[in-house]
Amino acid sequence: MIQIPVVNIGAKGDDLLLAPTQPFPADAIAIVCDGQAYTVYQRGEMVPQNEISGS
Amino acid sequence: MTRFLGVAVDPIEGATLLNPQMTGGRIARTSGVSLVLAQSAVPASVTGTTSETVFATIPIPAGAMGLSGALRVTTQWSMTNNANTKTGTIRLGGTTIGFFGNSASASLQHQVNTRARNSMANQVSGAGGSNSFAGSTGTVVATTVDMSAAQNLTITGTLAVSTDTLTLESYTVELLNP
Repeated sequence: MIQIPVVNIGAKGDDLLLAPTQPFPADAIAIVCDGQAYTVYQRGEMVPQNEISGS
Repeated sequence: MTRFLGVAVDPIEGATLLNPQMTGGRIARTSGVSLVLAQSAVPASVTGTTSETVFATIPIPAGAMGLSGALRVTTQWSMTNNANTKTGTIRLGGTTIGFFGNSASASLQHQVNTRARNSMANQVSGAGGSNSFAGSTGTVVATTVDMSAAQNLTITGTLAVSTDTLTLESYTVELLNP
């Protein structure tokens, strides 16, 4: 599991548009953004189901 | 995993997409076929913020979408099933080409088609909405993204209430040239 900070790529004066500061790794299996960072789960790691299930 | 193709631009023949996995590197021009630019089923979620959040960024090579070309973006979503609105947005070069605002659903399949109007810099897309193929009171969306230059296509999600969750479950981005 790694964390990638967010950066605002929105136009100046617009609402925030959050994006990762670097590309997601090729072995990512799940990604969760909390507004501060993207938590990237990688192959071989357990993904908390409540992290990715919306319902 | 997402894999991207390269592109070579010939002043006469136009853009030719390159497949780095093929011996010799070059495949036939994309005319007449659907070319998958990117596809993933790695779930990407947002929760804890109401800021618009990028889930995926897909580079579209300069000149890859021809004068009458099109992009077809098919997405699958899951979300907290309550009355709060969750918004999914597709942007091309920063310009919105499709979106939905949805509530009271647990999941959603959505498709955006944007087609060039015999121009490298004029496109038309459908009105936004949760049902990609239903009638709409909204007008079609005309955009002026310069596809002779490289552009990024982004898929984003936005929550109205930060305690909810919106997940891009999967997507396919296709390039179609006649």
